[in-house]
Amino acid sequence: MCRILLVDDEPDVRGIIERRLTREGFRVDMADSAAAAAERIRAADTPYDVIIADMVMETEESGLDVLKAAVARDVFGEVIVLTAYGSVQNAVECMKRGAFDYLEKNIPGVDVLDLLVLKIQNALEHRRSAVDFLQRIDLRRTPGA
Amino acid sequence: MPGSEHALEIAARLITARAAPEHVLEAVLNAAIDSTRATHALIALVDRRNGELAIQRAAGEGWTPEKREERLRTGKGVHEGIVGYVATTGEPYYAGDVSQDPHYYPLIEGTRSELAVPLIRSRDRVAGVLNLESDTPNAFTEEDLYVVSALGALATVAVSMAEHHRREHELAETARKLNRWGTTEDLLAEFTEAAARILQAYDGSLFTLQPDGRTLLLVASHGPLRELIGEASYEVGEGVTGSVAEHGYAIRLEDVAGDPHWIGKYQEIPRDRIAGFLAVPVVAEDGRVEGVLRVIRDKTPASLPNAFDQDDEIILSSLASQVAVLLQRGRLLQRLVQTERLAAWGQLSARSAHIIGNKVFAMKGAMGELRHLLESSGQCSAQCGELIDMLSRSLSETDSVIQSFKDFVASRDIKRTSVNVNQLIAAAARRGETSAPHIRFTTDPAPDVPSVPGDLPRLSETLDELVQNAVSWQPNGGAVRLRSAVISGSEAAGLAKLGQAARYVRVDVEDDGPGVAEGLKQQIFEPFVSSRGRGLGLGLPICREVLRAHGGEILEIGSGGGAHFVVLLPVNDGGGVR
Repeated sequence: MCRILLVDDEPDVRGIIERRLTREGFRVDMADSAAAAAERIRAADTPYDVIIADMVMETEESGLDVLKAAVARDVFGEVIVLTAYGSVQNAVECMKRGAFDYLEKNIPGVDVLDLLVLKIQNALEHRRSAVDFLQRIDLRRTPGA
Repeated sequence: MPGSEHALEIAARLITARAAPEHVLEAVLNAAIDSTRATHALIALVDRRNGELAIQRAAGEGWTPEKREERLRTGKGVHEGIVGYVATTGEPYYAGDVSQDPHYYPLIEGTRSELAVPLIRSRDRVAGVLNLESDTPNAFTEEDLYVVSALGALATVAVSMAEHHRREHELAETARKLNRWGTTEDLLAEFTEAAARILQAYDGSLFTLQPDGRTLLLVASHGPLRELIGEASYEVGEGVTGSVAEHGYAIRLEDVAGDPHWIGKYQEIPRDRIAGFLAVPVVAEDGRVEGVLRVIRDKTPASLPNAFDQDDEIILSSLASQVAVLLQRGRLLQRLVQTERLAAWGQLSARSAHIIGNKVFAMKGAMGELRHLLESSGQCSAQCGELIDMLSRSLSETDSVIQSFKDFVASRDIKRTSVNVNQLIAAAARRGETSAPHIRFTTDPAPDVPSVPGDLPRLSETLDELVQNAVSWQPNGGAVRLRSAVISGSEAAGLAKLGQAARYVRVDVEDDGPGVAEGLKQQIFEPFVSSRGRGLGLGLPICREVLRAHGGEILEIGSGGGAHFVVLLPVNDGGGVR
């Protein structure tokens, strides 16, 4: 079962994303700030598969703080950064720091929640193949040592 | 005569003591009467506005207010008066017996003899006349002539000094006005009036160069052209005024008909009444001519020459440079206000965009879930579906308003790739054709148009905005014509204030709609001014911000027909011809 951490300081936004993702069959935990998210990430029994974080919360770069915390816990954690109105610079910055994807909440003519679900599926796929690859390397390298 | 030396000494001392000119003139007249057998004396000065003589000061018995007010006629004909005669010839005149004299014109009763000397300014111009009358015939001697001539010279110095003081004072006044807080229009009007006053002109007018770079429009006038403010205009190069703008040199004329450029465009100032014409360029800080300040003097028939001289030209040039400062200040103020406004809106919109964006997202998401629930429970009637669609549409439109806001503030963030302008206009035309089948689209791309560094999506949006404007103003059919060309840096500079690129790509977008009114050509690019009554009116302002962020410009130059937008984009050249 796929575990998702959803981080956004806006309750209505958390509510609607959680509803949609639960309908898709994901298990969703929530946090309302980068600090709260870092704490949940640290305290989780097993790392989250996908973390969805808004860019602007306590600061204009809260999303990057969540990204840092996520990567620190699990290198294969996939983070999708969301933003209300973004800029190209932000997107580039996120991708450079290791985010899996970057998504604007308001795209004319597009159902962003559908798109988010699609990206989550892509992220999961990506994560699975990375983990598989690592396991294969490990097996080959340790024949008994 | 000992008396005459004493009189001269008094007058000379008054001048060196910088006494007020009227005291000097008073002393001169008293000295003239004391040291000769004159019973009456007067000083008449040329009114530079129209070449007439007016009595400045008079001494002796019997001067009534009416007599003092009398305007002395000038000219050499019969019955013009000795004073008028002397003013015209510039030579002293003595009439021992006025009853026998052809030029005598009675001012004071009982006069039997008269002596008049001209007051000569620099460059042999007659400033006025010192006139003595006596009730005795043959009252004046040769020596009297020397003395009176010397007194006349002193009077001339006093008059010149008075004139200089007056001008200094007026110039200082206008310079102080530069610091005042007023609308540029009001201040320009005051300046133009000051120019007319300082130079004693019948008409003072200021023409400024319009954004099209071709038209000089009357923006301020003190004189008969006042009625035509905002209407009267010259093309650069048209008439004397237009020539001054074209070449950047002042032009000073006495005989206007003789000048090859004179066209007499505005008959408020009939050619044969013009005694002097002086026009100087108003030059901006970067050396471009941005206007013409001109003054005109008229003349009464057979009046004295009162054309403008070199001193006048120097003064008017000084005033013109003050006008240039005023104009620059107006521009800076406008930019400052706009920048402040934008900064404020920027802050507001960044925060609002974030908050509203989240709300809109939540609403859209909720509606999506609602539709899903209704559809999966089979309870979504057609009406439900329609309502949900309506909600969706309203939300999207709200969204695009916020998007416009954000675009406007962000329009200066551009990312440069290599843009093929001809492909750009072809694509814009195609999109236009698809969206507006009732409009005829034509493109005329020049073959030699190079690629330019630019933000392709934003430039596409810019062209789309122009195309959509053209379409929306021609609801019953019409045409949109897109054209591209390469132009030189100097050609581009003639259209708009730009940077230093050697070449520009020029894109023209024309339509057959109602066009943009003359007074609105600048305004349509101002944010939040929308003549359509709907929306934020940010389309064209965003286009302008985008173009300026590219180092280019957009302007509207239609005249008489539909709208005609010109887009300029700098070419990233190593070489190229300027």
